[in-house]
Amino acid sequence: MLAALILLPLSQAPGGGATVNQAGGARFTDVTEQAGITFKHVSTPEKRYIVESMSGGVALLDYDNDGHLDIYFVNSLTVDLLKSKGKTVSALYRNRGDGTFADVTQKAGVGDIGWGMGIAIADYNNDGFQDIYVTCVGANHLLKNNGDGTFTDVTEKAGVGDPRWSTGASFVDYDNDGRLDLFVANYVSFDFNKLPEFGKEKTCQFKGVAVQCGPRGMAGDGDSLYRNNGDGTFTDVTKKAGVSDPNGYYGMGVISSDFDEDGLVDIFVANDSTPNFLYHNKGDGTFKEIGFLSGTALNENGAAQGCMGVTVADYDHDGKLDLFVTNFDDDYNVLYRNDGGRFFSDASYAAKIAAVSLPYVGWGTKFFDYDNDGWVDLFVANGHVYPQIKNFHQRNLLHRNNRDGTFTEVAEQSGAPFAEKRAGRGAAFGDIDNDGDTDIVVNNLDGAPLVLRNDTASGNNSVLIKTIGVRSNRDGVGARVKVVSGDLVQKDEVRSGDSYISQSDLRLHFGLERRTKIDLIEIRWPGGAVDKISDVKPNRVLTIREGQGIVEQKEFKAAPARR
Amino acid sequence: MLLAPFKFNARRAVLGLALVCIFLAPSQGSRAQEGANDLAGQLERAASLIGGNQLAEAERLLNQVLKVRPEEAAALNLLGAIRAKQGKLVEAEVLFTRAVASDKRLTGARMNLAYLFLLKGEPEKSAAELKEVLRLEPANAEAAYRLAWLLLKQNRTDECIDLVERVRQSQTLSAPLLAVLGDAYMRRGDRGKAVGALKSALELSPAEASYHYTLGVGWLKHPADLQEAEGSFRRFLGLRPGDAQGQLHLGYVLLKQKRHAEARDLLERSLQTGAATPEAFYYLGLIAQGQNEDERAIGLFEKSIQLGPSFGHVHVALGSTYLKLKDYTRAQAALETGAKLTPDDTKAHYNLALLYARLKQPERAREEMLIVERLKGEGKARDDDGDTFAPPPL
Repeated sequence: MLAALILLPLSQAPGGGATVNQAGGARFTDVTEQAGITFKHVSTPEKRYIVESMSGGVALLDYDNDGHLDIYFVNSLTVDLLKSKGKTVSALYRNRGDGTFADVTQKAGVGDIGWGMGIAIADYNNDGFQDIYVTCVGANHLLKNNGDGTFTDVTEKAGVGDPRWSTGASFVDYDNDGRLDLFVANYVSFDFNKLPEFGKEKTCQFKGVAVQCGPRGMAGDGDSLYRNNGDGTFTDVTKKAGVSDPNGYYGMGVISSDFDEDGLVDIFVANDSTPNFLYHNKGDGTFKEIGFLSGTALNENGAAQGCMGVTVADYDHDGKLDLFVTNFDDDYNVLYRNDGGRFFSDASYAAKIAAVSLPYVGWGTKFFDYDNDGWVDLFVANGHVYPQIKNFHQRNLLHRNNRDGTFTEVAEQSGAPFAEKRAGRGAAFGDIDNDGDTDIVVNNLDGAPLVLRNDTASGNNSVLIKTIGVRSNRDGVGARVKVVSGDLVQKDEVRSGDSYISQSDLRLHFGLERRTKIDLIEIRWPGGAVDKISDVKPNRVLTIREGQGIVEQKEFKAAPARR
Repeated sequence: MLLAPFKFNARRAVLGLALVCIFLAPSQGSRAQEGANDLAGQLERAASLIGGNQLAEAERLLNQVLKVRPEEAAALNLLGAIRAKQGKLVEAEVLFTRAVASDKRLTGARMNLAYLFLLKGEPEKSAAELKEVLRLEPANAEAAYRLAWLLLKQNRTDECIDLVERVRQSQTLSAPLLAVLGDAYMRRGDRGKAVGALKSALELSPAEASYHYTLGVGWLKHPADLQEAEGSFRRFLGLRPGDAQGQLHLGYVLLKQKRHAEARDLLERSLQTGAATPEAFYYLGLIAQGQNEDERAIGLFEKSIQLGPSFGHVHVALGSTYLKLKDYTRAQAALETGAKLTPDDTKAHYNLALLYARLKQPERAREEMLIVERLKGEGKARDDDGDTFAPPPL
């Protein structure tokens, strides 16, 4: 009996049902239930209206500064609930630090946000506590963290309650004044008093099947940029900054990144069925839209795609941040390789992430290094929008980075959680159990979410870096971090808002493979200051304060059974 | 590939003429009944000889008749058929015309004349004869089919549909006529009715390969139904396994579905079976491009260009490959050629915009993007028709 147990392969290990991937070693365990997550996202079975298909975001944040990532799930309404003035509850779960979570929604006062869509997290008022911005169908909500476990809805005072159908959002210090501004994308102009008739028009048909209408055939809405005045209020500078989207393209995912490394953060908006925007920050408070000329507006055929989620990373280690966007089915997820000089190439097929994505509608996504080998891999949450068709529920994708500019899709070999088919939407990434690897949370359209604990037994080292700005914004959003360990050089940025209308851990994670020393950590802060820290030990959470270096370090929680 | 077996070649035409002639049955009055029977017998014998290709014997018999009855319409018609079979079309026309002049109700001679006019490239005259036949014999299915086919060939789609739908009111349509109707509806853009007609034709003649082919082409029309198209082309190839056009089309359908290995296999087979078309090399190049085999893709695109220098899409594909490889000089040459040959190709202009941007020519880049925008506004963008590359000739 003992011999039998010893010989039992990991793929049959009791507990999670997850298996070890022969090719990439990915091992994720669905811990949703055991973590005490009981949240259920609400939607109708039929989804007769587009507005019932597009929610919901999810965020990983540390609202109580205890060093453990908490989770906020955005919930939506339905047309019937709206008409009957019914309610649903979005949920905040506090991480107890022992693998379980407590539902603190009521105490925190963050549950009633109406028809929620997405979320972005950052400390907009530089008080040391992460605040929440929830996008909605209708007025959005800015929930100020009071620092005592509660939040106050300050939307009206702040002036950021865009009343349209908002989707992606990103806190971004576009003018490098140390205060986080806010960009919000808007989707369709949806009139609840004139509901589109299910299946009636050409735009309400999908391969001959009657479905919900849109977005094509519906009017879109422009986007918004709010400048932080530093006194708890914001000024709408959308038009002045040149980011208004006067044609009303269908905005979805938003990500902020200094793509051209000129020290000024740029903004990318993934638009559904319309060309994407890449707003190049000119440094004078205005932006120039360079989507077309940069090669990121359309795919290589010059075609607009049904873009949803977005993520950024230097996947090929050439020092430039590349862009990945998830798309509708029968079209491929697109990888725009950054060629420098504000030019991108569609490298999707070359990177071997395109063909495998064709059957799926992709949403939440992130470049993340699941096996700590120092090369970012790629996750995509999938699920269709039309329950009337066969493959409404879809499995998620996991692409392993082959370190040669290509990826291999390994989800099917990565165990039970990846074989399950659901209608995935938002996805957030972060080290929930502080054991040095990145976990995944997916908000599904119907019902329970998915909390995937990363149990990949790589044996590799890693580091988590938490930035604290001083002259820069408090969270260090926009800080560019370079980590050098021998011949391994990695770059990333602190970002608020990414994936599909979601928020990942603001701490940056770097895998180091077997390297036991970090030679250099270089941080270029949004204000332009640079900090360089040498000879750092891995396998810990480093807190680095602008101008002061490492101010705190905590070793990762040991997870011997899984490492 | 043409839908109908109604082709302009002498062999078929003459065979057709002979067949028509067989149906000629001259009718005469009472006293002369005996002689008439004798005449009918002679004519039937002559028709039979023509059918057996014994032209000299048939001509001798007919000359005997015409000696007694110089304007005997049926004999003139048969003699015209012999001349047509001998390739003497001018003499044949004179004889058919005399036959019609002698007996205006002799529909067989009018049918032969219709054929002859087609051979001479006079479709209007041909149509007029066929219409006269239908006026005389509204139930003449052969005339209806040929007239419908002729109208379709002349792109008189609405007239063709009206004709066939009128015929449908009085009789059950034959498979060929249903197939012509399907083709006509397809050209009018009514895929639902087109598919309906073609499916009816296939119920009557399930082994007629060309119907499967036409149906497959129909499924490729916007919005393409690739699964249905695949089924049709597979059935077509089941009946004609070595048909290069069928392989090309099925290869295209599989390529559209990103089933690259299967598509490559079929396209390579189409090349082996003789269809060394620009499209086949183009598709194979696209497959290579999609699999990151850029050098191979370039070779295939160049072969495609050798075969069809005016096939604009392949220049665009070649240019985009060079752009990907950062060979900007070659990319510019290929893309500019492609844009010139296919000015409505958004991919050409989009890639040119990207290229000019990289060459630090922002004005030219902007101009190209404006063209892309304009084309999108006009509904000509590739994403609007669901196509990412040029279809084979449909």
